[in-house]
Amino acid sequence: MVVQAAFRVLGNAADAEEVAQEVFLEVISQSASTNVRNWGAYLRKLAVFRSLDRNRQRRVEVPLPVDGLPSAALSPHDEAVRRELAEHLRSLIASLPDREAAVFALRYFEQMSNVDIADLLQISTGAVAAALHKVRSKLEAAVFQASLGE
Amino acid sequence: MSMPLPTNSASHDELPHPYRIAVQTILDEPTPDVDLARLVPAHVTCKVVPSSRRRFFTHVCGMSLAGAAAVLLVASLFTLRPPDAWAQVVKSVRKQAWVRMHATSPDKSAQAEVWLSPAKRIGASRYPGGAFFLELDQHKLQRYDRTANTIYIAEPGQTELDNFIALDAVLDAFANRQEQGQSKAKDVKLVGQSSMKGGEGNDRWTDYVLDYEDARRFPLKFRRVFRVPEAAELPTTMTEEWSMDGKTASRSFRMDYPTTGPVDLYALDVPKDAKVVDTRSGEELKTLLATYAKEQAAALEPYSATVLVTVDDFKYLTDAYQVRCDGKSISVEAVDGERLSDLNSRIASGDVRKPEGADPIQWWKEEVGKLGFRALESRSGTYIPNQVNYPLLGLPNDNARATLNPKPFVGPGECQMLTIDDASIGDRRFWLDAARGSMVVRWEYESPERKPGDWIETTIVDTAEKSPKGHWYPTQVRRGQVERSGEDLRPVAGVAPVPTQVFRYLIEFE
Repeated sequence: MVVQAAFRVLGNAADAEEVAQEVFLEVISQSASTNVRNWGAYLRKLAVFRSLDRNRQRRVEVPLPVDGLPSAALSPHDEAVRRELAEHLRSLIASLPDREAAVFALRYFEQMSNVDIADLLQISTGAVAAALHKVRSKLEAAVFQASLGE
Repeated sequence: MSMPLPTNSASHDELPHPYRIAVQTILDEPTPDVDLARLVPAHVTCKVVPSSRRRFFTHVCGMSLAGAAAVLLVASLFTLRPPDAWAQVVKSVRKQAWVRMHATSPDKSAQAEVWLSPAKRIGASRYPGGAFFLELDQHKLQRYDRTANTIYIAEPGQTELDNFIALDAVLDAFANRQEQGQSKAKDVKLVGQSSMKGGEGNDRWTDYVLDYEDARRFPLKFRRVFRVPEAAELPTTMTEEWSMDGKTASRSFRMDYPTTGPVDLYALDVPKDAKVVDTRSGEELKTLLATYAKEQAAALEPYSATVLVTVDDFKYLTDAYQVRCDGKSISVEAVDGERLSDLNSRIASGDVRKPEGADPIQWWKEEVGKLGFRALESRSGTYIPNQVNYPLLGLPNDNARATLNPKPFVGPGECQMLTIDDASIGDRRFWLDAARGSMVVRWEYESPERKPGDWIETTIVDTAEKSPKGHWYPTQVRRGQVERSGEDLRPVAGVAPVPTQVFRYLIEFE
């Protein structure tokens, strides 16, 4: 779960492994009195945040494509384009403000509901919706610019 | 719909098209196999230290096209960095204002000229069918088509640069199609160098012999001999030699060094009244991309389809799929492989025979319908009909550079060719048919790891029909590899590195 959450943000197995290690160490190092109601969600949150931090640090570099298994009947071109789109999205998320990036990753990568995200990040559901709206607008702008050949 | 629809579409369905696919791709990625026990140490007393594991990164080359072209210009003319007399020849040629090469066809009926100015970074050519004028600093290529009396202005693509600089323009002039090729100049390797002195009567000269291997050409090996008269430093002829079918052939170019050269395309016998079509990343490209995006996003009416895949003209079947689209989501099922294999075996042994005169496609459809199917998680692949004729272009992508060629040399006629050069994905060429909803009827893909001699991934839409609402979808598609851009896929298994797959889409709209 932690590795998967990290991997979805980072797209790199080695980095995901390191983030997972950091998360486990962080949890183990925390005070025993830390009040966590939902450990699963909490670990995913930590994985997403640590992965976003790492993604920002390496943003100027382009990671190798993920060694994913080819899908049935998917051509090499399809594979390459999809990998590139995924990397493009990861790069774009890394450029977002903290809250927007975290909300996006939890919503679309971890497929959590707005209510659960709000609970996890201790913000209102309205703030979650607003963050998602902002990210979607930015993505639409990116698509529009691309369609103009810019 | 023309895009892969996600399994749990409730969330990322709301994202713009390319990002919907990006999220689905990320969700589809297998999670790395990590030993969790190793990650959680038994005792934690130390500070977290990042692993010393080396991280690999790809580096996108920032070399500008103009810079690359300049390198190519020099490299293609005189590839060596020689320490000997040839070095002096190269140095002398580079000092010239213009290098002119002139050739005549064996029957004397056609002539071609190539002009190169290393200092001005201009290349030009005049040949029977038209002319070129390439300004590297301006990043501008003008091509005159004499038949259409039209000048096409474009940003030079890598292929055009390579072809032009490697003197393929001259080869084209004599319509020697066998020697046309589209690849990278890096495909050209100098494999040998020598020199020898010769003479006849009072004439003395030195021949500098350069042996090449060019993955773009057939035959692969050829030789260029530059002849430099005694006491001179500049070649006066360049002869190309090659062997084919046991016979040696050659052609010669006279070389001279004028102090002036063509100032523009019109100086190459191009009439001033020629029509001009500017295709540079301008309105035509924007319009095309906008039209394509609209067609790609258009919803195909609800349908169910049986997709049959063969590599041997439906003697046997290699795969079969059942695809259903309700207008919002797509579900895909793949045939039970073991049962299909068993059916193929029984056909091979004669236990099962196709009825005499029966339509093999319909017969296969009925037979695979009796076999079991299993649901596929993936919603993207060649089995989704309109992902084939409206494939992803890979945009948005900051690394990509798109160029439009309204009248490509190769590929299906009457199509525009969209070229997307991309260091990370690879180079791609799409032939779009404006008369059929701008659908892609052929596309080629060269991965960034492609080595000289590797074949080119190619998909060809053989036939297509219109849905009740007027959207184009393919009915037969072939996928495989070709040796050179524009070639047809070969039907015989074993010729290409991979067999050509034929996909038949039997679609029924609801």
